[in-house]
Amino acid sequence: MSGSIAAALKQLWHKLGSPRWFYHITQSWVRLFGVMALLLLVSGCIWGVAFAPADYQQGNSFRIMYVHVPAAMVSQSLYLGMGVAGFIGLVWRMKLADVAIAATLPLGITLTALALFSGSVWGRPTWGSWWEWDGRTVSTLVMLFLYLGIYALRGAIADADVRARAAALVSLVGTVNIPVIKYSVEWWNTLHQPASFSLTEKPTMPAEMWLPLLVMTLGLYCFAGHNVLSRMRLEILRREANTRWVSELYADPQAVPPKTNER
Amino acid sequence: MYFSSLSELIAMDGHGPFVWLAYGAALVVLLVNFVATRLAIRRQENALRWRAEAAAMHAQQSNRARERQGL
Repeated sequence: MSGSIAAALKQLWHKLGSPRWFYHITQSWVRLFGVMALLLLVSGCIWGVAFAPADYQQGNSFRIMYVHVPAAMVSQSLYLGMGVAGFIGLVWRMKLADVAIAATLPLGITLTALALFSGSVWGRPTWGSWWEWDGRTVSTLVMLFLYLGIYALRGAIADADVRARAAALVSLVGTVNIPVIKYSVEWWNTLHQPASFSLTEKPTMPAEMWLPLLVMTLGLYCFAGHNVLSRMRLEILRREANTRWVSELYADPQAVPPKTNER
Repeated sequence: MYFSSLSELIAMDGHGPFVWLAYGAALVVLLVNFVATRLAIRRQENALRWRAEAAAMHAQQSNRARERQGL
């Protein structure tokens, strides 16, 4: 039994190395993630903005949490995903690993920026300041610079192999920052409130407050799935443009095939 | 609804500008990512389609040339 599972996993691993297989298998996933993201984000927003009760201390400004926490969580997960892809790319030289890193960067950068921005906007009414040099804020800023650094690095290196290896290495090394973000609220005595939400523990908030947060977080994960997979498929179409399977995807089926010299 | 009127929802006891700024930024971030990806995919697909058409036209012409030469 375990042997057949191992064999199936091994087969999946080899298939994952094939851009063509990945392109076809993800077509339906992209659509599913897109629909789920739209439904969850729209309902989560309406729920969080208009129906959740106001916080007894922070009043209505706490509704920013429904944007801030999912953005922070997903941007960290995306970075972690890039680190894993970097590891796979360095160890097994899998082509798709660099595709994944390239496809994650734009969303990772913008979501980290959104986490910082929404945190700043939340900080003004609750902490009385737009910016605090707080442990979690600074480590998130470091993550933004890591994202931007990898983006710039990929833009600066012309050789595709060197570019892939450099981006994989920085992605992998930069993952040490993720636990720093996570434990920053415990290591340093700061203004930043501890995690309002965890996937493993029972929330301390009433359900009508954390349920919209759960919906928004799942919605943003679905959006990330949709966006990163779409960008990976685009990157595959670019890199594999000269292959037979891509040209067959876009060939007119009624076109006359070229005649050969065989008679 | 938690608020008793739409104007109360918009004002949010004075926190309105902060809340709406954060949600507006989120909307912009999601839309920009979605639209930019969509446009880039469409551009690439058009380029591939154009290439396939050019290849088909080329094949047709060379087929005709072969026929004219009696091949």
